[in-house]
This record gives sequence, C-alpha cells and structure tokens, in this order.
Amino acid sequence: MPDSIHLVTIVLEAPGGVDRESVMYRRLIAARLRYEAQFLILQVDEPLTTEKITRLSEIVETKYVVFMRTSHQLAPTYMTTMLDYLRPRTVYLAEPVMYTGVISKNVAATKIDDAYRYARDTDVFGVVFNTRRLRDALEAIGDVDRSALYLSYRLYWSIGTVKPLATGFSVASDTKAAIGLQIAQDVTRLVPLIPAASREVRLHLVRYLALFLRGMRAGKVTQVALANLRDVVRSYGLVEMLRFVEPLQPVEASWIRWLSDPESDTHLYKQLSDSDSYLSFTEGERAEGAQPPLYELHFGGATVVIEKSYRPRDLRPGYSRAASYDFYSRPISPLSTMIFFDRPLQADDNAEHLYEYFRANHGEYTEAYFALNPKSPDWERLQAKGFKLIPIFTTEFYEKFLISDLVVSSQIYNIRYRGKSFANSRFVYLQHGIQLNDMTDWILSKYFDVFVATGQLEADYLRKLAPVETLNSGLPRFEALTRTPHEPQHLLFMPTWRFNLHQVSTEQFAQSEYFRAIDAVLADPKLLAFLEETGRTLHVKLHPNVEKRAGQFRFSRNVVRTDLSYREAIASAEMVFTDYSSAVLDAAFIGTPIAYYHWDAADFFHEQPYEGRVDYRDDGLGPVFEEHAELVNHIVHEQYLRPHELFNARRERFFQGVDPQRINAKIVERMLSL
Amino acid sequence: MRKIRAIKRTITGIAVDAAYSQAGTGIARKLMASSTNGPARRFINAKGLESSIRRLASENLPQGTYFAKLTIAKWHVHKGRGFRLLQDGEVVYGNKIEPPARGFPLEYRNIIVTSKDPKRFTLDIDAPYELKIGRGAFTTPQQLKYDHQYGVEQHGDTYYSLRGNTTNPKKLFITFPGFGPSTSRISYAVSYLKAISNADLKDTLMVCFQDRYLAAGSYMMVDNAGRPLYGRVWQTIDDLRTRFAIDPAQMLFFGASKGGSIAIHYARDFPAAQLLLAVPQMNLPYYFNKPFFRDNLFRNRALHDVQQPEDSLREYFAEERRIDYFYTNSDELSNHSLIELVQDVPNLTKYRIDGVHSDVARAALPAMLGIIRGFLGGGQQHRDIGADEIRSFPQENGIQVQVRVDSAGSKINRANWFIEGWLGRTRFLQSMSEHSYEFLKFTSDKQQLYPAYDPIQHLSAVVAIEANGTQWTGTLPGSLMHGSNQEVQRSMSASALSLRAKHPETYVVLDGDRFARFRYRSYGADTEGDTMEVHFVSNAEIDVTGETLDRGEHKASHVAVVEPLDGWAMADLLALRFVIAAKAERLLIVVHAAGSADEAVDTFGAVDWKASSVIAIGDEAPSSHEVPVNVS
Repeated sequence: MPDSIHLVTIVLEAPGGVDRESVMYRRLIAARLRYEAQFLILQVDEPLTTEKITRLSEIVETKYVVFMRTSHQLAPTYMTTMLDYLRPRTVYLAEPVMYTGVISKNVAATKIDDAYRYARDTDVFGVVFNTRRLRDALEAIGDVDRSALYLSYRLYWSIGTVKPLATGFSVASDTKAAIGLQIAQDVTRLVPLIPAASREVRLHLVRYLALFLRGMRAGKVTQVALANLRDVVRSYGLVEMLRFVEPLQPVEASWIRWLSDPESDTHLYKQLSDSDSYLSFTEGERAEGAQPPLYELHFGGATVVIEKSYRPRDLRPGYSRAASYDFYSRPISPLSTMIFFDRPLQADDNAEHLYEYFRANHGEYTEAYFALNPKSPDWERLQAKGFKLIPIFTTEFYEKFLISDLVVSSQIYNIRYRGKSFANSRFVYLQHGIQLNDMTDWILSKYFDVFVATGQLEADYLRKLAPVETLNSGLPRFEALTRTPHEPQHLLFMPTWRFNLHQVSTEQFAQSEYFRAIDAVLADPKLLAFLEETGRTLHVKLHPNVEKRAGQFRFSRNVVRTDLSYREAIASAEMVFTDYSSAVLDAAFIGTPIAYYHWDAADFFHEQPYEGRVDYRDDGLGPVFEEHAELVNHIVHEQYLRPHELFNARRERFFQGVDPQRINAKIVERMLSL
Repeated sequence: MRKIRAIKRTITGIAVDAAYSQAGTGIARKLMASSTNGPARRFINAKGLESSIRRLASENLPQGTYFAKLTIAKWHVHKGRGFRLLQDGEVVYGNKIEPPARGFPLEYRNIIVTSKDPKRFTLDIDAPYELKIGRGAFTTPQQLKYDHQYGVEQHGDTYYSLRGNTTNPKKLFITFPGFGPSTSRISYAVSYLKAISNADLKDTLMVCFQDRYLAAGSYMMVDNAGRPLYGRVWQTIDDLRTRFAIDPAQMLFFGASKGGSIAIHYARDFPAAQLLLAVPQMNLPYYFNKPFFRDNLFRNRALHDVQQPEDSLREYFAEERRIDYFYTNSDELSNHSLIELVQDVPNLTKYRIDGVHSDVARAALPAMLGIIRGFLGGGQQHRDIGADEIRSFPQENGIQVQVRVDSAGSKINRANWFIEGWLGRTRFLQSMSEHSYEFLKFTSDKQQLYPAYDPIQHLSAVVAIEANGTQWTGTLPGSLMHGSNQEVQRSMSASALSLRAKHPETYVVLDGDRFARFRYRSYGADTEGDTMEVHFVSNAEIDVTGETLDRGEHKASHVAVVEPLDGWAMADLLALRFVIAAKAERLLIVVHAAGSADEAVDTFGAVDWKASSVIAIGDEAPSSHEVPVNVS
C-alpha cells in the first residue's frame, strides 16, 4: 500500500451525529487551516468495536490513525503537536497526556508518575497508532475488547514506556472509575499473555483488571475464563501493584489477591467496633440454603461467589501488635476528637444538622469539629452559630483526622492520611438523600461503620448489604425540617441531572430532551396563567451542574430561580415536583405533596450509571406523570391540594421506623457506642 | 634553654637516662604546662622539640621499664584473628586484629615492657612488624590535636580538661571516658559532652578525665607502672572541690561503659555525690575475658585485685546514694547479674534500654543529657501530660505495652520515652519506641516487659525525658491485668555470687530475654589449689566431698555445688563467673547426671576459659561412668 499524502486519519465515533458546535469538533476543524493536507476526519456512525477497528485499519490509508468521540476534549495544541511530532518519524504510537476531567492549562506540568499511569484511561481514544502496525497486531490480538486494544498493542509490540507529548486529551468522564467497564460479550480473554511487561504497563493492566472486575459486579456474566484472569494476575505480577487499587477499588483489590492465590479466600475488608467485616471468594455454586451471597458471577463456565462475613476483632491479622495502632482501641469519650462535614463548599446538610444537635445536647464533647472550606458561604453562618470550624482538607484537618475517634459525614470521601482511612477507623455515613436507585455495587465498595437509612424499605435494602452497619433513624436534615416553620408560599420544581450531558455544547444542550422538557414546563402558558391568577410563584432549584446554563431557561416573573437553600425552599413550598430527585422526599417527610414528571422514563435508567430500585408508580409518594400536559393539569387544577389516601399510606410505610423527634438522638446514641 | 639544647644534641644512653630522671620529667612537665604563647613554648615549637619534651613529660616508668610501640604490616591477612607479642617467650601484649584508620598503619602504642632490646621480642603471627621501645610514652599527631582541641592537660600523673565555670563554681561535674576503637589514632579520649554548653555550665566546673594509661587506658585503676591511681585521682578531685568549697552533694560523677566503672571507683569517698552511669562493667576480670582484652588488661593482676565496681555499687546501694543507671539486658558481660535484677534500693533509678552494650549511651543520650542538665540547673523540670490509653500485648514470655498520649505529649520532640514502674523503692524505666503517629508510644519486641522480674502490676506512668532537662509524666489510666509470676519472681535474686555460701543461695544469670536460676553452695578448699571446681547436681545440698575425681596434679581452691533450676542454659556463664571470682587458674566442671551428660558437654564445651575440663559422672556409680572431656 503506497503512503497517502495525508498523515493521520481521525476516526470520529459519533453514532448520534456529530455535535458540530462542540469545542472538540471545532478544534479539529480549526487545524485544517494549517494542516488540511495532513489529516482526514472519518466519521463513523456506529460504536467502535475491535471488529470495527480491524476493518478500519484495513481501509485507512494514512500512516497513522487516531480514534475519538466528540464528547472528548482536546487541548488546543493537540493537532499541532501530534502532526509536528509524527511528520518526520515512523513510530508505533504517539500519545498525549491523558485526562479524565478538565485538561490542565499547563500540560507540561502534569506529573507523569505512577499515580498518573494508574489513573490514566487506557481505552484506544486519543492515542495515535501506526496504522499498519495496528493492522498487524490485530491479526493476533483482534479477539480482545476495544477497551483492551491499547494495552494489548503495547504488549504485542513490547512498548514498555511511552513518554507523552506535551499536549492533552481528555475522555471527559470518570464514570468508568466509579462503575467499572463492560466488555463485549463474546470476548474470552482480557489481554494477551506476553511476558516481561514494564512497570508502566503493569500499572495500566492492574487498573484495567480492577475496572473489568468492578464492571463484572454489575454485568454478572462474561465469557472471559477465570483461568485467563489468574494467568494475567500471575504473569504480570499484579498483586505487587495492588496498593494503587486498594484506595478506590477495595473489593477488586481483595478479588485480585484471591485470583493470585485461591487458597487465601477470605480477606479483611473493614475494621468495625465489635467484629470486622470480611469478603470471601469461592469458585463454584453456592450451597443450597446458604445466605444469599453478595454476588454470584459467571466467568466462562465457572461461577464465582462473593460473600460478606463478620469475624471477631481479635482474629484479625496484626491485631496483637504493639507497633500498630488500632483506631478502635479506645471507646469514644468526651475527650474524643470528632469531625463532622458535608460538602466542602456547602454545608446545610445532614452533618450540619447532626452537629448542631450534638453540640447542643452533648456539650461535654469539647473536641467535636465541623469541617468546611473557608470560602464556603456557609462558613460565616456556622461561625456565628458557634460551630468549631476547621478548614476541610488542609493539614490541620488531616492532623485532626489522625487523632480523631470518629468522623461523621453526609459524603463519602476517600480520606487517607498516614495509614489511617475509613477501612481502619470509625465513620458514620449519614447519606445525602435516600437510596431510590440500586446502588449495591457502590455501597459495597465503600467503608462505613454506620449507614443511616430512612424508613423500613431502605433499611431492608441496606441490611442485605450491610446488616451490622445499617441504622434506620432517618436523616438529621428531616428533623431540622420538622422544626422549621412550614408556611406554604410557592411551588417548587427540582429537576435532577443527566450524566450524558456533561460535555455537550450549548447548542446541543438546547436541543436535548432534558432542556426542552424542563423549559417547556417553565414557559407553559397554562401554568403561567395559573400562577398569575392565583398569585403563586414557581421556584426552580436547578441542579448545580445546570446552574451555568441557567440563562438558557425561560424564567419569568412567576417562574424564578430560587436562591433559597434546599431546606428553606422545601419548608416554604406547598407542593414540590421533580423528575427523579430524592430531595422531594424531604418535602414528603413533612407532609408536603410531591409529584414526579418522568418525560424520559424509558431512557433515564439506561443512560445513568445505576438502575432504579424503587418503582415510582408502585411505591412513589406522589403521582408520576410522563406527559407534560398531565403535570400541568395536576398543578393548575390544584389536584395536589386534595388529600390522597394512597400516597398517605405509602408515605407512612416509606418512613416506617423513623421517629421525627428522635432522628438525631438515635444516631448519636449509636455513634457514641461505636 | 641550654638544658633543652643539650637534650636535642646528645641522644646518648646517659643523656636519655638523665632526661627521663625525675628532675628532667619535672622540668619537661613545667615547660609543657607553661603558656602556649610564652617564650619557652615558642622556642620549643620553633625547634620542633615539642614531641620530645612531651615524651619527657609523660609519666616516668620505673627503671628497667619501657614503653613499646608495635606496628604490624600486612595485617589484612590476619584480620579478625588474635595476635600476641612475647618478650622472652612470655606474653606482654595481645589483641584481636582490627583494621586501623584508613591510610594509617596498624599500631599498638604504649605497651609496657621490661627490655629495650627488640631482639628479645617475637610476634606469634606470621606478619612483618616493627617494634620501637623507649622511655617516653608514644603518641600520635591526632591525639595531640585532640588534646589541644579539648583542652586536655597533664597535672602530675592525671590528665583532664576543665570546662565551664572555672572561677567560682557551685557544682562539680566529673566525667570519665569509655574506650575508643582499639586501633584508633586517638587512644585516649575524654567524655567532653559537646552538647553541654558553657551556658549550661555557668555554675559548674566540669572535669573531663582522660584515662591516659597503658595502651588504651587502665580504667584509671593503675598507672603505667601498675601502681594504684586512686589516691592521686581522688586528690585531684578533692583539691578542685575544696578550692571552690563545693558541697559534695553538688557533685555528679558520670561515665559510660569503662567511664561508668571509673565513675563508680572514684565516687567512693563522696557518698553525697550523684552518679550517672551507662553500661558500666561490674566485674573487670569477667569483662576482660574476651579476645580484645585477654592478653592485655586481663593479664594485669592489679585490675583483679582492685575493689570491683560491683562491690562498690552494692555499698552505694546500701548507702542509698542517688544513682541513675542506664543499661541493657543484652549485656551480661557488663551487668554481671546486678542491675538487671536489683530492686527496692532507695534513690536508684534503673533505665532499661534495648539494644547491645554500645547502643545504650547513644540511644539514651537525650535522657542522660536531661539528667545532667537537671543537675546543672538545680533540678529537672517536671511537667504533666495525659496518657489517654494503655494496651498490653502478651507475647510468649513477656508483654508489650502501647500507650497513647495526649496532644501535649504528642508535641514532645527528640526525647527518650519510658514506661515507668516501681520495684519496691527502686524506680524502673523501660525505654519505649515512638510510633510514626506522634501520640503513640510502645515497647517493641526488644523492649518487652517480663513478668519474672519487671513490675508489670506496678507500672504507673509514661515518662518523656528531654535533653533540656524537662521530664514529662503521664499517669497511666489503668493498670495492666497480667499478673507477675510470683514464684519465679521470688527467686530472681540479685545477690552477689559467693565463694562462701554455707547454705544454698540463689543466683541468676540473665542474658537478653533469657534467664537461668541456680541454687548453690560454695566453700574454700585447698589454699594451695589452682582449680575452681563446680559440681552440677540435682540438689544443691548433695555432699560432693566424697567424689573421687582424677584431678591430676591440680587441686581445688574452691568448690561450688550447683543445682540448675532452669536446665543447662547459661550454666557455662555461671561456671565462668565462679572461676573468675575465685581467681583460679583452672576450671573443673563436674556434671552429676549421666543422663544429661551429652547436653552438659554441649553446654560446657563452649565455656570461654583457657584451662577448663568437664567430667560427667553417673549418680549411682561415679567411678565407673567417669567420662573426662577436655575442652580446653
């Protein structure tokens, strides 16, 4: 095949059409000004699979090929840097500095170390491949999943180290790190087994394996054989790399240990007050009549069962070592340092409310601190309330964390400091809301001593995953809400967010169903007339991710962006509606009518990283509308004002076990006994 | 000046004799003591006479006695092996070959000999050597520089430097030196304690003695001629004390290792003085019975005949002197079963440090400086910290302890940490390790507490001693539940080994984390005898006088009848202590247990004594089972 004039083909995966106004696309096109003759853009309207890439490698005539999506991000210098680098050379591959979030303005300052290599997304995107070498390699490695192609290519050509060029590329999504990856169903091996991989490649491999296993917990079935996984772990010595996996994927770290040594089937997962929790892995069907396992997963012909158990503390390896400190060794006492926090920049959530209660009722605990970013607008407010504030995520915070006996938060952050983490110390997770979606895989990846549930339904769900840790007390925020004067003044709309809109252009956002559905409600003539006639206002609490696009919505005199806090907005609403936000349950808790507007019910759970657990129609605490007109009618005919026996009964059942007056007391009682 | 020129010009035998006469030495000493800027010293320096005058000024040996300097070439071949220098076939010096300082020859200076004819000397290893013999002591440029740097001066037959307040001191702080490496170019150091500043010494005169005798020091027990030094050194100390009218209670004697033994020796006539000791040798001949010393200090009879530090210290205990004593259990050679076990002695504080002998002074330096500064400043500053939590971790033989201290305790830097308890009236402090978490202190595996002899039920506090003299104490929040082994504890005697124990007594040998108890009787036998006879029996009351043993031409000077209570472990050390205590030439070990003969032979096969033998006999028919085993 003769060399073509063009140097690089950019294969753009865009099944739904190209977002031509996206920054990414415009940057690609802009490069044509100088380099038109040097690259081609090949738009592909179907998902890129290994098979598709194999076919492409056969038809692409340029010396190099790179794969991208329009949802990705390019540094302004990407094209220039790549082309300038590739023009005089023949190389196996060239890659930029890879990001999962925003590309650094100073790419050259990004530290290329083990942490970078471990965190780097290793899909095919953004990397420039030598087309012919890719084609050659695919003859051997064409059976791996697309997500493993980059790694397999490096293994195949023994590319031990790669120095990234001083430009950036971002896949603009970190979802994979949270939920793992799903590979093609017919794939039977993860990566080829080619010895003598470099440390750099092994770091990539261990992450890839961890993400694959994480994805398996959701997917449950694969054709990849267990034997192949064991070979990968052993051949590449991946157990030596587990310290990178443990902080964010602790289940997978244990799992990889087991793959390496099936004899060691039980692994300490988290220390707890009375007994520690362990994960055990076994190959084979579970015994009949045994407790349902956390997971039953199928690898080729083999079944792997993952179970959780609790064992006395003194059985823990290293328990009796004077040289190690057991953060559970002393009971919580008034001398104990405790740290409470909500989000770094925003308090007014469960930790704040619990802290306020705790300070008022347990003044003898003088070393209880509330952590917050001093730049938060809440800082002064809480200071005025007499909170003992410390700046969150500073050295002072971490030093306090080290000596603390307890951390209480509405957020789960991966806090690690000098060997202390929530794996070996007490943590009360208050939650931000109520689990309506199936978050099993996420919950099982987190460390907590207490998981606060609201109502019997949620508690039952959580107890299957964390029987010892679950506490059905209700959220501290609810107790505060019941104490806030409830004077209905307006309607409140709280739409939540869609993950697939993270990187879209303004134009594409405006064309999204999400925008159109919400905006249609805000500008509905019947609704506006109703508001005008009745002197009501519709307050809209946009999701923080949408705030920057608020200008695109049609707000008006009676439809306003509220600047009230969630609590104030809910306490003063006579009716609250949302698409999927669990925040409306705060309203339901204090008896305010709620409603759901599911304009995209069919697609919503498909596009989100989790599945619905609660059926809104069967268990929802308010009516569910799929049509715009139904929602508007419900409001303008004031149907929400009518007493509704069904929803009242559901509400009672939903919040069963929660004593509105003793939410905080119950949590405090439990946390002090840890 | 004329005299000096004459010395320079005429190096004849007569002149040398004249120069080294008492008068010559006196003049030389005067010259060397004169001002360094004075005309006499300037002249000496200009003419390059300093080393000659210095040798003249050095201690004068009796007629017919000389200093020798042995230089061994090609020492690499013999590295790690022993050598001996013989004069007419008799050993006059020996040591174990260690590498000298880089770039320097292997030298042993100031060996005392009785002939100046090198032909009468031989070396028992096949290595080229050079022997220089003279009337004056040998030195090195490094030693001279060192002496100058630290202000060490000769005062008669004593050598010391003075620091601090030399005009109107209210206190006297006296230090004695330890050993340096055997091949050092600076054979005679001082314990100068650089960390102690002039500000610390504003009310104190510090006297740093130098042990400038024999090849590497004589423990300041004897001079080069073997004459006891006690009177001369005591006089020096007492002159300084009386010159400034210092209250004896305001005196502190300090020394580590050899220096500790010297400090004990010279504190004798100052009962009100304080003692700060680190790993002193309790029994010098026992300590010298090892390759480095066996053919030098061990051969010096005077060192066998002086009162041993152990005996002095036992007297001081009885006098209730204030003593701070740092030691390690892994140092049986120095400890000799005293400090490890002694208890209920008023005013004694025992600081147990982990590690070997040479680790102790370095590891415990902050605490020792703290004690010194406490003395210099009129008392340690005591402050409180909180001990929030104590946990214990039982191990096979002992326990480990973990203590969490409060935020004030967490902020203490560069201190020594201890867990404190009381052994009757004796304060006991076991060193602790610091965890990387500042709030956590713990006893490591090597810092375990042992129920047999440690006050586990009487641990009362966690203590931090800073080098600045501040002592922090945190009362423990609870006691440890692990009980002591009362039965074993009762038999953990710290009594001295006796050669006249009419009725059975208990003696304990302790080494590291192991100990062995022995019940024994002992008595003197033939005053003409040369053998210490140690019978190991199943009951210490058994009469062994009727045993018929083949002793050859030798006779027993002393007999011990020993019943091991904990098996054969360390029975060899006990036997060694007996033979040294008896000052006997030979050691005869008789094992009265045919059944355990093999085990006994294994144990005593390793006994480190040049002339020893083991006989194992059966209880029922001793003569028919006699199995002589010569292990010498």
